[in-house]
Amino acid sequence: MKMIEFKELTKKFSNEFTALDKINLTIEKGTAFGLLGSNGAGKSTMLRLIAGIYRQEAGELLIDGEKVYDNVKIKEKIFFINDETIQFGHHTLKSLKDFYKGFYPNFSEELFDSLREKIGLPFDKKLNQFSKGMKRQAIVIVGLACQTDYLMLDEAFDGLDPAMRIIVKRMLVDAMIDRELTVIISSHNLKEISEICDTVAFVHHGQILFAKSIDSVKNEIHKIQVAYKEAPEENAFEGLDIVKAETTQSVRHYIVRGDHDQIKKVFEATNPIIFELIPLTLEEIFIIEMEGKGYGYENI
Amino acid sequence: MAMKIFKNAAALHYFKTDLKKNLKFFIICLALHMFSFPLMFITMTYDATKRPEEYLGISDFFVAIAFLFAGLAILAGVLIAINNFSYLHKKHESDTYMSLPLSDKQRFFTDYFSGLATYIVPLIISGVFTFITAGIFIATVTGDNAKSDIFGYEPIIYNDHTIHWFEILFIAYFLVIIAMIMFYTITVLACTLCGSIFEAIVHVIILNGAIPGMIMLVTFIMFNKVPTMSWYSVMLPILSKTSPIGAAVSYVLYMGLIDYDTLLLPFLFKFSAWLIVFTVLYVIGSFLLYKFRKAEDVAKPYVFKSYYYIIMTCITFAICSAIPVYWEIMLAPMLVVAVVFYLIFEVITNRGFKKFGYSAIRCAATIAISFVLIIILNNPWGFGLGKIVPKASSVKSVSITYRGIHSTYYDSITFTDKDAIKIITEYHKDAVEDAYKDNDYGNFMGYDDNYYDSAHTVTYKLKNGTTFTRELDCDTEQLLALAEIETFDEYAKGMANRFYEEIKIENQFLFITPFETYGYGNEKSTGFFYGDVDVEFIASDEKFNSFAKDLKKAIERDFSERTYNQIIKPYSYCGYLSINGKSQYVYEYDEHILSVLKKYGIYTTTPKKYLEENYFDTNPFNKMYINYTNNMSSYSYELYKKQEKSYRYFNKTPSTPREHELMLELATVLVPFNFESENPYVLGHFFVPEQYEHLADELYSLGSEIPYEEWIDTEVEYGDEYYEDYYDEYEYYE
Repeated sequence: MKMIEFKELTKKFSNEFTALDKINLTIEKGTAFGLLGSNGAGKSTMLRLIAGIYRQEAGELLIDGEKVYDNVKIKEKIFFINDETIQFGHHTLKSLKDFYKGFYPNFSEELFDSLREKIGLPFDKKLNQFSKGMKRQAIVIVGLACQTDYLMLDEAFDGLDPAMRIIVKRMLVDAMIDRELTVIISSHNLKEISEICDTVAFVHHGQILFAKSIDSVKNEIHKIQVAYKEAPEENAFEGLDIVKAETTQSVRHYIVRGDHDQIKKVFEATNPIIFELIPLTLEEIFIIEMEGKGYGYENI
Repeated sequence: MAMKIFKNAAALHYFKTDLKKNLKFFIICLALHMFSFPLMFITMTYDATKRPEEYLGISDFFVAIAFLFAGLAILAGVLIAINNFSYLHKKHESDTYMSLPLSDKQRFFTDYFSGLATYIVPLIISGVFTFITAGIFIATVTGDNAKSDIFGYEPIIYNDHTIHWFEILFIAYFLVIIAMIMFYTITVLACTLCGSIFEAIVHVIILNGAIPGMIMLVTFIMFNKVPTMSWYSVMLPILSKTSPIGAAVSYVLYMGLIDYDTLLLPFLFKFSAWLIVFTVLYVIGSFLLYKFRKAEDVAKPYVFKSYYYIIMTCITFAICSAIPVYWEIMLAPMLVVAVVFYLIFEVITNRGFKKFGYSAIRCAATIAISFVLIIILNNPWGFGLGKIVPKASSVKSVSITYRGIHSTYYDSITFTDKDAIKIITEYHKDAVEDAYKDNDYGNFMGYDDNYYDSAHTVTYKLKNGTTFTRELDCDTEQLLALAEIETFDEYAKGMANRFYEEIKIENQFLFITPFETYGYGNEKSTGFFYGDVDVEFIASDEKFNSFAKDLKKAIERDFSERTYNQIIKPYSYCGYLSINGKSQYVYEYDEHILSVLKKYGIYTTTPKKYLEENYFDTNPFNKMYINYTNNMSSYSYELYKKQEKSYRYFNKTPSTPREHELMLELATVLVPFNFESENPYVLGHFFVPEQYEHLADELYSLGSEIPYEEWIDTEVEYGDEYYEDYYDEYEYYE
């Protein structure tokens, strides 16, 4: 079975700061996996561990059942796009393509040419003359053309205009469909994560808070908007996991974890005059989860 | 490792990519090399053909330019290594290069060898052009006098082996290439140890200086004042192997130490082999550090804190080691220097004043450690190493710079004879006992402390392959015991070979008698070295070569026939053979030497007959001693009348026939040997052999005894005021 597995993995920096603390995570082949988390949570560290750049202090990281660090065979299956583009400045798109082509045996010239034509990037111009977005596009099409099994993007959508984001997303999706590419994306743009990814993991202070499908995430936490003629009794919502409760004049807003039907049943039993179950966006879920961990803006 | 790179497609692709990345450096290095020595030789050829008589030519400037450009090209190795390993110092490159599908081994060695190729290939290309242009220049200079050989230049004779100019050039290039590879490797080592470009460059300088510097300093502290040990002989072998600067310094120093038994090319290849061994060790060390370091260490000043502490300890140690030179004066200033230097380094490393308190504590601890190390290393007995004397049975050969009874300074002679080895080891044992019975040697740098004086350098090659050298003092009795080595055939052969080699190199030699100086040279000699020659013989090349060979055989025969008694109690001194300040005394029993000299027209008479035939009005002793004793006779009985140890002087012109007759007799039997001081090698004094003591006694009975103090204050009757200075100097020996 092809997948990426973190097993009790710990990563420290300078033996002082623990970036990842005994994490366990499985990323299945063919998924689009999003890594979400606050700044400094450990997302980029996880990507770099998978790319074979970092090595862990404890635990295991296996890709297709093998260790990745210093393993050329496994690294040929991985393409890592980090958030910097300055290192490519002296390349042209042609030389960048030639640079990576020599390392990845499955590199496809046809795919590269077709992607380049779609985007319309110049072939012989130095990348330091490109805009930030164009540099990003360049490395993404090179990465896709390498036809690796795993593609990792760290803040890869930064600098892309909305139209280009759509194009890049489509390229990713096409690749996922065509050859079961596994995409791992770290981004703060939760809208895009929710559009591309089917599975997400929330990372906070080196711990995985949860890792599940986006549908599951969205189905497990809900926003309730209710209004009452008479306030319900205090124990009316017993049994519900209420994360947050706010009252604005006569309207109450509740964030509740739990099953959709059960929540609806409990609230309807309190005879509200208005009851609305509003689906939360991933961004809202993210903020709620972070606030729960003390990372909310109220604490600043 | 290089072959493995070329077998792997990704690594080979990476190698080519690196070469392209370094193309600009390659072109710059090539231009610098090509405009250095090839251009220098072209301008020298131009000057030689166009204006040979003028004092200043354009090549005079191009010589300086050649060395400047070559120096810049050598320093370019730093830029090449830092460029290739830039991902170790730049965060934004680290992810890209470390995520590539290459193993650590492939990445490291590809970067290493691609940089090395960029660095060395331009030198090799320019070397080819240098050979061509040098050959044209040399052929131009030698012109019509050129004899057969490549490019028309006659080979140099060295150690009885011909060596051609192009061999010298090849050796020079070979050594430079090896040293450059080592320099480049040390730069790579600095890159793996440091996380930023600034620290990498600083530590290229520090490592290249620290390695030879610490070797020299530590060995100096340990062995500078240890009796019988030579700091030089301990330091040089280590220094020459471990760094390019050390190799350059040692190479220059070693060239003065090569003895005549050493073949130049094998010596130089052995010298280079050690450099290669250490270079390989540095490569391995660099790779292990590279593998051990982490990608997240990029941009940190030091990847390995322990390295930083070691370097800081070395630097602090070096500063503090100046303190024992003169404690009272040096302690405060050197401590201030050490503290300030340490804290400045800490501030730079920490990029500010973070944890300054910890820095201060570390500084104090490092200074304390430095003092402890100095105290431990400054063991006046070199941890007992100075006392080691090998067993004669374990010695394969021994070389000794032996200043024999009958010669002045000479190079070393090598013995393999078991008995000769035993004599030398016995002498060594004796010298060690004498050296270590006086506990009078101070710390390594005390300027007013005693030093152990040495007379001979002894180098052992043991059967187990090791070599070690000692420098030994020698008193009169030890010298007499050691003199037995002069009876061995190896000594005779060695001395004969030395003399012959010197004659062939200098194309001349002198035979200096008490009465006249004879100079013999061939047509190529450009003048005799030692002032006025009374009788000059200039022979054809063929005759001179024949004479040199005959003299060599004669020396070998006569020396091997000398008995021990003749050696320690010589008589009937005739004169001495001299080349380039190296002298060998000749006596009447050296019949083969005298016969050869006679055959070629030199020194056709005995001293006594000469004196009879050439009596001068002036005191013949004055003429004999004019160079040394300012017209005053000086005899010492110390050797044969040890219990007296007194000096008696005859200080007047002979006024009676008997005085005259005695002086003539003694003049012919004097032996140039003196035991007036503890150093048996004071030149220019003669003594009367035992069997003729009665003549000297009688002569002194006719003269007057004058205390030595008055004698040296007496104004010279025949000399001039110039010699008064000599008296002051002469006092020194007392």
